[in-house]
Amino acid sequence: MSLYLLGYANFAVAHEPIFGTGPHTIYKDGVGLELKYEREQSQHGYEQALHLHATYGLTADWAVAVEVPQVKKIEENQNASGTGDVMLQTKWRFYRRDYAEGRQDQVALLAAVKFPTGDTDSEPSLGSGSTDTIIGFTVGRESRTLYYFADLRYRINGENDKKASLTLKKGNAWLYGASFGFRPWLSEYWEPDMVFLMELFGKQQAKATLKNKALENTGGHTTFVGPSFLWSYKNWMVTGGVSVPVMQNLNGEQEKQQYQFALGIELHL
Amino acid sequence: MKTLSFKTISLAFLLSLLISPWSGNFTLQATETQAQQVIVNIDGLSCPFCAYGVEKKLKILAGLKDIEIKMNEGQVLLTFEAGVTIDVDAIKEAVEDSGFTAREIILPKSQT
Repeated sequence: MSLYLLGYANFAVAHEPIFGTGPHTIYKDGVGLELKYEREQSQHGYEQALHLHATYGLTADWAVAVEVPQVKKIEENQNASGTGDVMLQTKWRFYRRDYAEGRQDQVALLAAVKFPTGDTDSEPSLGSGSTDTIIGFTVGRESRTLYYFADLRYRINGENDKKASLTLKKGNAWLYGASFGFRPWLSEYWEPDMVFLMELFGKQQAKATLKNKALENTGGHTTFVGPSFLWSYKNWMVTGGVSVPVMQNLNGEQEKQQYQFALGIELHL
Repeated sequence: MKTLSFKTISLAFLLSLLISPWSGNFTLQATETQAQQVIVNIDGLSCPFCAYGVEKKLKILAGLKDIEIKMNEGQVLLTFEAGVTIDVDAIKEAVEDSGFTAREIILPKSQT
């Protein structure tokens, strides 16, 4: 099973896609705490993770974050649980235009580094054993009623240096997403607020290599689609969504994914 | 004697009920005439969750008594204590630090 969710480097703040990402940052000196449960089901097992995500606003347009996942993986008759790969992230919103009717257009660059903190001796492995880098950008247009988001990221996977005998290197990957959302009724500041989204996201990954030799049963292209929601009340937000694959063009013989599920709670301090 | 004192107490109670709302209004009006209200029109204010940052940054302004965010008007009403000099640049900076743009700041007549 691929580390799809854990390797996706979501960096969502506030009203953004929950499977993809958006250009939102947090206010200057603001602290955002998020606890997010994610589950990825495949034909012969599942992988679930509880992510603790902490964000800090260096300025209103530049945020840094750390993500610590607690992972549980079950593959056929084997299971393992523990801390996964810790990730450091940053997002810089370099373009923002505000309009009188509550509309906001934004573009942001983002970067993340994932460290090999997860146990690779367990079966299945809880971490990739490699230091990976993700760079990309995301755009968004939002208003009081409608939301549009898109993102494109590139993941450069390092070599698994925890199992030197294997010298396995996962293939680099393009990650993409596009979302549309709407607010069914306008709410005031002191009222609960609800936004619904329809998200499309995917990954095009190159084949992994072992001692510089390509592995046939790795890599490929997957695309998911699914609905999600964002419910908020003042500085609290609850998010959730489910997505199913609409395209899985995987190389060789690989286990197919069935669905992804996410549920989170976020607090801004 | 018992009846008289009961009547007296009842009358006093009724009178107090009649007077208290009026006196409350009087107090409120007196306060309102002293307080200074500033209207900040904010661009880009799309969601209540994001508006929390606006409240958080504006709350620390010196002399601020009350803040009211009107999402549908894209407006924030700030009530300052009487006699406070309102710092327009500080308001602009606070809105900018929350990730939005203060398009217009309407001050009370005493400060224009």
